[in-house]
Formats: sequence, structure tokens, C-alpha cells
Amino acid sequence: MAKARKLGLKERYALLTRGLDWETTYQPMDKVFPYDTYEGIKIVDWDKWEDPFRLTMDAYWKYQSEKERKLYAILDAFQQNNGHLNISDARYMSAVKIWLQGITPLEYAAHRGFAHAGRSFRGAGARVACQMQSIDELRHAQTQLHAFSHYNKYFSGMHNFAHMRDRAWYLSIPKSFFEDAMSAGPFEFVTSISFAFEYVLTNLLFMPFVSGAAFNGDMATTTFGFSAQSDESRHMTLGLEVVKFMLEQHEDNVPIVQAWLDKWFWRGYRLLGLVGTMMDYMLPKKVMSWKEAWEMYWEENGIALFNDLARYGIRLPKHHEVATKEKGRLTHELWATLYQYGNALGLHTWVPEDEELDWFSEKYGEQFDTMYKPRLLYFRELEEKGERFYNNRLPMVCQVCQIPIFYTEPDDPQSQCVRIVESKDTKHHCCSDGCADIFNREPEKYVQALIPPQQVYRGEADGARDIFEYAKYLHLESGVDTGEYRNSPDHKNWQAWHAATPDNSDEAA
Amino acid sequence: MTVTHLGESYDFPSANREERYGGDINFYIQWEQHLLYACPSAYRAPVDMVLRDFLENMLRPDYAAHPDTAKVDFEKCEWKFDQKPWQPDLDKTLQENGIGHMDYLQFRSPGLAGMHGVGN
Amino acid sequence: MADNVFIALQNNSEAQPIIEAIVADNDGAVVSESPGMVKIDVPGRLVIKRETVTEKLGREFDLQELHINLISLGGNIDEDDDEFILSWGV
Repeated sequence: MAKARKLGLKERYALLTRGLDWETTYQPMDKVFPYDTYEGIKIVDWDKWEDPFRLTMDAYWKYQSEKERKLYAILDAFQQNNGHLNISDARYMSAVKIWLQGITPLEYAAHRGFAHAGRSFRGAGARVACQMQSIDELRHAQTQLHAFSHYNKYFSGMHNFAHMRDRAWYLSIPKSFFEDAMSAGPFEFVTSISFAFEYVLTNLLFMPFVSGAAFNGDMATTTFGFSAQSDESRHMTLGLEVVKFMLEQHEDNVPIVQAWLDKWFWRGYRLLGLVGTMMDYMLPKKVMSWKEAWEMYWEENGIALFNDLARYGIRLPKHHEVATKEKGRLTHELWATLYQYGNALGLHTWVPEDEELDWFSEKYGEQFDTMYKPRLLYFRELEEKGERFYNNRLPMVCQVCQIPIFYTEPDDPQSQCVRIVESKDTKHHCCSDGCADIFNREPEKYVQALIPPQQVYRGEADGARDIFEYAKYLHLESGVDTGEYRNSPDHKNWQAWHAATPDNSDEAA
Repeated sequence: MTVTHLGESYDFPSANREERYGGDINFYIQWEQHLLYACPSAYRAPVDMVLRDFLENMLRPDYAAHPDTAKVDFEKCEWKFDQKPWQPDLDKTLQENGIGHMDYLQFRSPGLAGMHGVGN
Repeated sequence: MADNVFIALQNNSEAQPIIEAIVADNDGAVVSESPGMVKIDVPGRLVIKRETVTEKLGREFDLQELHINLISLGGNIDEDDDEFILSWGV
């Protein structure tokens, strides 16, 4: 076979990651790479680092360019064929808006973060893996912007995502998540993003949600979503590799890694509540409930991963049982929150249709029927009277995850859950024991957080004094970009476009 | 615990410290058993505002959409201050009641336990 | 009892021979389809053999072509020119 004359995969990878590296002589290595030691992680032998995919640069470029060619052919077809008309319903666009406003900027942040991490590691294998990931993440940000640019021509709320990313209360949730990771050292950064977020949790984003996008006729999101996820598999693998590498290198690394896993599991879980709500409420045609996704991807696959890490002395992340207790309520509580603060939200909210309520009853059972359904029906009753429910008073927000504190006590879903924590000059509030633990471990870090309602009250949001002035500060046009879906410009346009299409009777209520 | 860091020190004041409020305070209130309102509410108010004025003129209008709101008698409510039982004097100011920056108040309205039997 | 490892692939014609190869080479493989994707769970260990995919595909297959249609996976990876293996445990 021709293979005999060609280098094998393992040899090619070894040449890239061992033979091309050198020890610095003009300056000591510790001065060239100051960041990869201060976190306390001890590395005895960087050559033990291995990328299980053993991807070399030539193969990387070859397969990435092939992915891009496929993706852009589909995006062209999507735009040329008015793909926006084929989505299940214009309500679906709220999910796309939250993706553009909240997730796409994270891809760009990841691009920056991995560029920095790659520069920080003295091991060539780790540097190469971070470099590839940094390029991947830039690709994800760009392909998402290209895909969404078509929707931006037809729907509201997508016009100023970068401005909003730095200001909006609900976008400070993903933004602060990434900034927390990027301001940590390189080992914590890679543990947080590649392992806790990508390996343990992003399956929940890219698998059921993107599958849901396919089911709702969104060819653009399905295509870039799965294209991004093919890179994500490599990132997840890097995440698991870095964790195993640290654990195998020195026993002193075990408690440090465990503390990071505790922290980043919880932060990642809190962030994913938004994704759960996209799946349950923003997909008009539903694929899988948040509860089912949590059971499949955490309770089965996630716990299998931690079982595998037990041999290194790693246990399940703290408070994972709280996350499991919340699986039947999380998305209902969060949707009610988005619904009522809708006057400062760059996407629409609504009360689900009757068939959707039936689906919730089927998936969530009695807890939904007794607690959350009556609340939704009351919202509907007010809306039908012309008194659509809004809460215009700014909320208490968690000092760590920056989510408005809508959570309830783990063992009592009728009591609000608030934890008071203290630093030397003031008190702060957290949404959970998980976030309070994170605060108490590094209070000097979290006291600096810019919490949007506090920012408004301090007069630092261009002097905005209430939720409507705050929406202006976000560049949101009241009643166009914000609030109720029903009778919004998006809704009216959707009806008009479909009324004009002969084979599509208008059934939107 | 402290932040593991490079360099001499890692020490910053709170972004939301009281001195940034020009004499006012930022504090929080939650109406128990009324989860229709998803979160505790955040307020900024002057310390010499009378508590009753605050409750009648700022808080009550915020909760106007709830059928219980008009019936609440704040005098009869059961109060908590930073999650411990507490008895305010409604005719005294916030400051005289000991309400300060970043304090968290909760109240329960006897006989008004929200809607649907589940505290909505 | 071994925990499941899994692999998820895009549900398209390019991935079909890979899925068939996985089913042929792994006893106990459970295939579940959702819109746009296929997830395959196998207890403990999953192998993709270059030879089997090549045979199903009718042309030479390079295992790294997997990257194009891969969505996600769970398990420790070991890959060389002939086999791609996912497993839990050592």
C-alpha cells in the first residue's frame, strides 16, 4: 500500500508538536511564559500533551475549507430562495435574536481567549490546539453574522447587537461569563471554556437546539450550527485532554482542577438556562424539552464523563443535584422573567398557544399544571383585556452570574432564593449557594462586576432613570424591537408575507 | 479565599459602593408568595424618605397589576430584614428604620397569599 | 455496567456509510435520529474502522474526513490511520 511510504498520523503529529518547538535562550522560559505557572498548576513534562485527533495544520486547513465551501453554498441558496419565509413562525426569530445578541459575541470572545491561552502555554501541543481553536471561533462568529445578516433585512432587534452586547442586562449574563474566564489564567480559561462549557454543557446548545432549528425550517442556523459543532467536537476533546493532562502531571493539581470544575459547571449551567428557554419557549415546533435534554446530556452523558474522571480523584461538581432539582422549573421561571421585563428586551415574548401548553403538560407534568400554567393563563387574561403584563421595576441581580434573581429555593419552588454575601465594603446578593460559593472564593474579583440595574441607579447608563429610558440607551425602539410579539411589526409582516403567498393560508392567531 | 494573581496585589473596591449614590441608597424588596413578580425589586431612594411614603408612592404602584395589591395593609405585614424577622415603624424614615445601602427586605401580607394556591 | 460513549453525526448522505459502518462494527449500538442529526450510543467502547467505511462508501476513506460531518461525541478518543476509538476507562 502507498501508506508505507507516507508518514502515519501519529508521526506527522509528533513532528508538528515536538520537532518544531525550542527552548528560549535570550530570555529564561519562565519570563517568556509567565502565565502558565502562577495558577499553581504543576507540569512536569509538556511532551505528555497529546491531541487525540492528532490534527496537523495541513489537514486542519483542508477540512476547514471544505466545511466552509459546504456552508456558504447553503447560505447562498438560503438567501436566494427567501429562506426566512420557510421558518415555522416569526416567533422563532426570538431564538435567532438571542443567538446573535448573546452567543455570537461569545464566539468572538473565545477567539480572543484562545489566542491568549495559546500564547501563554509553553508546551507546543497545547499551543497548536489553542491556535486552531482560536481560528475556529473566529470562523464561528463570522459565519453566524453572515447567516443572520439575511434575517436582519426582515426582522427587528438585530440592528445593533455589538452595542447591545456591552450594555444590555440580559446580555451581561453571557458577556460576564466569558470575561470571568478570560481574566483568569490560561489553565483555568481552558478548563472553563473547553471542558466545563464545551464538553460538559454545549451539547445542550448545539444538539437539541440546532436540531430544533432544523425542525423549525431555519436552514441558516442549522447549517452554521452543525458546521460549528464539528469544530466543537475537537474543542471538547481539547477540554477533556487538558483536564486529564493536569490531573496526570501532578497530584497537587487535583484540588485546583476540582475547584475550577465546581465553579465552571455552575456558571455554565446558569448560562444555559437561556438555551433551555430557547428550546422550550422560542421553538414553535418543539423537539425535546429542557428537562429531557438535561436528563440525556447531563444525567447520562455528563455523569458518565465524571465517572471516568473518578480514577483521578475527581468527584461530581458541587451543586449538580440542585441543577437537577431545577430541571422541571428553570425554563418556566426564566420565560416568565423575560416576559415581564420585555420592555428592555431586544426580542419578543408571548404567552404560548394552547397546543404548546399541552406539550408542556406532557413533558413537565403536574408541576407545570399547578404552578406555571395558571401564571401563563393569567398573563393571557391580562393581555386579552388590553393590559399586557410588564414589570417595569428593575430587579435584584446575582453578583456572580448576573441573572436577575428569579430562582426559587431548591426544595421549595414557591420561595424566592436569595443568598447574601459580604465583601469588606458592602453587601451583595447571589441567586444560589453555587454562585455564593464562587463569590466567596474570589470576592475581590466579583465586587467589580457591573450590575445593570445598579448601573442605572447610579446614573451611569446615559442618565436613564427607568426601563424605557434604559431601552433607548440600548438602542431599542419601544414596541418595535421590544415587548409583546402579538401585533408587533414582526408579527404583522409575517402575516402580510404569508397572506401574499397563494399556497399558505394564514393561521397565525 | 483570595484571587490567585500575578503582580503585587489584587484589591478593588465594590463597583456598587454607597459613596456612588450621592447620599441615596440602593436597596431591595420582595413580596413573598407573589411570584408573578419574578424577582425582588431594586430601588434607589433618599435615606430621609418616610417608609410609608416609599411603600405607598413607589412600591404599591409597581405591583398594580396584581389583584392582591390594592388590599395590602403594610401595617399588618410580617417583615424580614436580611432574611431575619423585623418590625419597621412605617412613619419613620428609611434611615431611622435602619434601612441602609444593599439591605434586603421581605414582607408577607396576611390573608393575601397570591393566586392559584401556589403564590403567584 | 459500562457507561455509554456516543457520537453524533449530521444526517446526510455523506455520513450514511459511516453510520452503517459503526452499526456493523459495534455490538449494542443504539441509533437515534433527531431532525438533522443522528446520535449513536454504545456501551463502553465505540470503534470506527477505516476499512469498513471504505467498503460501505466504495472509495478510500480517510478517518479525518469524519471532522466534516461530526457534531459531537462523548468518551476518550484514540485515533490512528486505521481506527477511531471512543471509550470510557483505561
